[in-house]
Amino acid sequence: MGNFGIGQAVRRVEDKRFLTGAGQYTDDINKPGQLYLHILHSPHAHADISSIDTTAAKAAPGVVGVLTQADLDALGIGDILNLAAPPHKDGRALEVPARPALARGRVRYVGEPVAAVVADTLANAKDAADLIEVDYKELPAVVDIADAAKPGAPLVHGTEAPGNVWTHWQLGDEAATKAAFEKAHKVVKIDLINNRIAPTAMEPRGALAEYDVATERYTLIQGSQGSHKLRDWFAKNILKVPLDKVRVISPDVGGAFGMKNFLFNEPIVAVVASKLYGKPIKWMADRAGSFLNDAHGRDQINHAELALDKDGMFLGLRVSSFGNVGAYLSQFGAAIPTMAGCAMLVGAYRTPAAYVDVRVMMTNTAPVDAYRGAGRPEAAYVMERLVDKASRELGIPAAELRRKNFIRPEDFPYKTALGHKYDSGRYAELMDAAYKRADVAGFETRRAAAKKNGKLRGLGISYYVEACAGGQGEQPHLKFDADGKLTIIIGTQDNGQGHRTVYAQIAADAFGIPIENIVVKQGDTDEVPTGVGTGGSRSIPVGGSAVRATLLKMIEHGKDIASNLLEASAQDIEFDAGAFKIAGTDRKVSLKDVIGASFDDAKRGDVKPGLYAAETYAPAGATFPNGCHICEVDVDAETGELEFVNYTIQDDLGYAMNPLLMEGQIFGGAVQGLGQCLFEHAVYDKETGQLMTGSFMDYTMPRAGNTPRFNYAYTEVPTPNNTLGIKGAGEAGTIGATPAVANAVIDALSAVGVTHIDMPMTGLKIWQAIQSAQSKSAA
Amino acid sequence: MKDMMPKFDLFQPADIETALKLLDKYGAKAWKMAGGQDSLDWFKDRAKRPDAVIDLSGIEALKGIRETAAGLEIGAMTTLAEIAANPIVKEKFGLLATAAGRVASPQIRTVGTIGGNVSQDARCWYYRSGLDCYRAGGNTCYAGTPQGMNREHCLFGASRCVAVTPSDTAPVMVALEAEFVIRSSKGERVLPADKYFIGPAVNITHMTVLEPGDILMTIRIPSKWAGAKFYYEKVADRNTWDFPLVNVASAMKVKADGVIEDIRIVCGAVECVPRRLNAVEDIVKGSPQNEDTATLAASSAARGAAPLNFNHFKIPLMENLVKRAIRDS
Repeated sequence: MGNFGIGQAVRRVEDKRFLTGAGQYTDDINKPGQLYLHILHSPHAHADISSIDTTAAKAAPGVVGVLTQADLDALGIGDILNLAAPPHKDGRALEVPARPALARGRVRYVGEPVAAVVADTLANAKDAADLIEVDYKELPAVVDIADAAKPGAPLVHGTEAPGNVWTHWQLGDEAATKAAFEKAHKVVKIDLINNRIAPTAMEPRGALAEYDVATERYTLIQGSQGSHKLRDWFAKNILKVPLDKVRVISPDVGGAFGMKNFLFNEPIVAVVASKLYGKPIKWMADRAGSFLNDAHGRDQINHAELALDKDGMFLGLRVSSFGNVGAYLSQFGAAIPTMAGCAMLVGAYRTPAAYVDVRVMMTNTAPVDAYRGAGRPEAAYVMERLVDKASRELGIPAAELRRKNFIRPEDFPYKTALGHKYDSGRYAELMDAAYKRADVAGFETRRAAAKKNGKLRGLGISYYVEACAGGQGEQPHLKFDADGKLTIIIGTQDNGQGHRTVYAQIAADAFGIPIENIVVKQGDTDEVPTGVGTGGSRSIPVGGSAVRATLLKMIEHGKDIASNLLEASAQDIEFDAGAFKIAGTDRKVSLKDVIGASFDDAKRGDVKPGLYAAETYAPAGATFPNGCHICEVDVDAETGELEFVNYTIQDDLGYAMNPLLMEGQIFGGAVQGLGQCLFEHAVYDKETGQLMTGSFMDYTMPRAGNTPRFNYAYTEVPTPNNTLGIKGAGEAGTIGATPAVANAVIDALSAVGVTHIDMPMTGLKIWQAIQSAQSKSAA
Repeated sequence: MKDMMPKFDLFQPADIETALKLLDKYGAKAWKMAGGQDSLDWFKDRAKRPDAVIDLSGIEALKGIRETAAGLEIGAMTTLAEIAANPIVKEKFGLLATAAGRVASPQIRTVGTIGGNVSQDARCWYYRSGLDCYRAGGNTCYAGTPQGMNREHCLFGASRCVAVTPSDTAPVMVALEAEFVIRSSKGERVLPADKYFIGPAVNITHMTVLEPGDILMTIRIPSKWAGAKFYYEKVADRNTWDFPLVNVASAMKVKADGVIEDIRIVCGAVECVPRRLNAVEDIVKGSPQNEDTATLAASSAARGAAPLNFNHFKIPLMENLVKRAIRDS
């Protein structure tokens, strides 16, 4: 390990640039003569459009053009694609409804893009949008799952999906699970609401599109989680042009959380307009627009049942869920409540039989898609609340019940009843470490002391496990310049995590060169040959392992050159500490000299010039990060206010590449998790379908004062599924936190007889739960 | 269209006389801007469209905290951060320092002023979104309708409008018997805090007595309550950068034998003006400061409350805060 190598808490190489305001986000980039695009959103949740009159808008000052879907259709522009189609349980395929960039005859959610104005200034574009006259004929709308499932509910897509059920999907062994429940000693049941979340990235979505007449090429600058996917979708599905006619550049990205993976309406209009009007087109979402048309997250209701024997061993798990995916299918929307997360419902436990049944529902709301965790937080929330409830109902302490049922270290690799093969873990050991660090033994004493101060103290535990960083590989390109500078070109996309730092660390570690000599390039499809992008906590486990695989190939190439310089056989050359040497001797040549020789035809020998390599690396399987969150809270019974007292995390994320950045991922993730649990809720009005939480005034984000100081530690249990032994860290914090905080609130409120509360557990809701429990006990 | 400020003329006078002349010249078309933390949002939302904005931040005479023979004088343009950190305020009127420190966020307190904080307009979101409600000069109240969202609205003193005072410091001013010094081209006048704030029954378009030509100069805090036992608590959905659902400010003098000699207790966010709780004061005066007194006082705190559809919770919340103020200060 070098000074700046793997495992060191190296400070982020990105920070100087960001902290001095030198970052380049989409909105920082401007092109000469650019025009501004503004989108007119639907004010109705469900309505037929009988006509759109753009005459006045077109005549307004500064307006260059006004577009509707009729214009896009006339140009042959493709609809937004869907990539996930979980089949019906009877085998029928999922019907994918058309999703045009601008409404085609009907709007289906408040905020759906209806028309677009392009003008010389944003103010003129906005003012002109007010002059577009849309003749709407309002239709009945439905915004929540329960209402959408009722007989006679308004149909979001007519008869395409009867009962608003997009697909009725299943997973697991229904018969075996039924048998397990029949021999159960006890069945514990829970009904949960997984509240709808708005993703609220600090940098809203945006796009700057330009068309070059000479090369007939589109360039789109857009913050994303992977520019190659966007390029492919634009070329194949939207514009229907060869791949080389589209270039996508993702500059700095200010937070994505899943949402910036997707293809949205507005950039399509920007790209089309750039060719149509012959000028660069800038579009930036404002915050209100983000709330309305970013793909939301979560929004499920779950009914779960756990069958246990008389000793508290889990026999079977049965879950029936409804997932709201909104009015249209975003690319992976239908996968989130189904394929993406359901297989993790069995959690960290040996549950021999499990069966999951999911109805994917459509409603008159914005599309729902992946949001940090994408299905796994929902699964962990169900199982960890269910286990907690079982612990209460059976009178078995939470730790004991978990320990009994944990998958044991010797069980790995462990194939679960829902089909995943877990890689590695030492669950009981981590839970014990967390209990010790959180001083759970002293909790009852602390609870009694808090009670004297009028506080309801609660302790909540979750043991999460999640699946990430499997699937497709990544293919980085690494090359040395003649002056010894290393360039890493890779198709993952940093959204603020600090990828440049970690990739550079991995290379610095291998080559023994300072991090300052390493440049990481990403985001531009012209510079980066291929890329899968960032998502599912894959960048460092997969991208990092791919960088490692590629640099090993470079070292082999270096050995060939060194063998020529040292006049030895390449097999006898080894590379260590920045030098190639003949094994067993002191004869060596430095990396610098080998780089120099690689460009020198006289010296490098009979090998290709330069020192570079490209290598594809795909992981052997998914990784299963896991860990224990222990949350201790005080609830003020008189006001319902909640205060964090302690928050302990003991994680297993495999080998830590950079503990500082890893902690950053976990802390930020955990705050997002507790945000969902305590504050955040995207609410549509049931009557009108209006988004009630359309600004930060109504959509409650957690703030620094609402967050605990995390007591963090980790245990490195490497995964065999990638060469670096890393488990993904990007989503783990979010997945573990939500159930831990929820369990803590319920534990606190159990003192006054509250047994259930749904998220978000706001001060008001906590207080109301206390009040109604007290008035019940008084009655 | 939102988010774009309409055009206005900006004036940044360096002295009061110039400012007063400008105010007289533009009359109701002028907008006085203190820290600007609220003003700019009004403009961006295009809910207020002044012709002229008079930025008072260049007038040095409006800034600073001074000790006088009678107590303390705080310039209206003194920032909340300065008040929260001022050693004299902290020592003598900790109540005000605490309340100033609970306003919004550190960034806003660094720029936001005490004059702006006490004089800020209603936070009813119907009004804020530019609807033509009574307060905006129209003829309806959206928050008070059966469908209206009125979780944040008033328990007391509704008169067509159901908005509340959102200020964290205004209740403190009433509790400490502060005086407000107001200047106009016609001269200077001084009003006690409970006359400075006005409800919709008096003037539905104003939250304070300030008229277009008026500038709030100084807030005087008399020595009377210096060093008293204070209690301040604010309950909000979030514990930073949020408006109160209910807040309470009390100043209490307790004799050596534990008997409450004198008290002023005021709640915010339950009425359009800070609500002084006279009944509570009468009950506790002459009683020992203990749980029983506090419980008794709390039971009368919300007497006469007329809750709306979604704000019943404010009644027990208010009662509990009053109980704590009596018991724990």
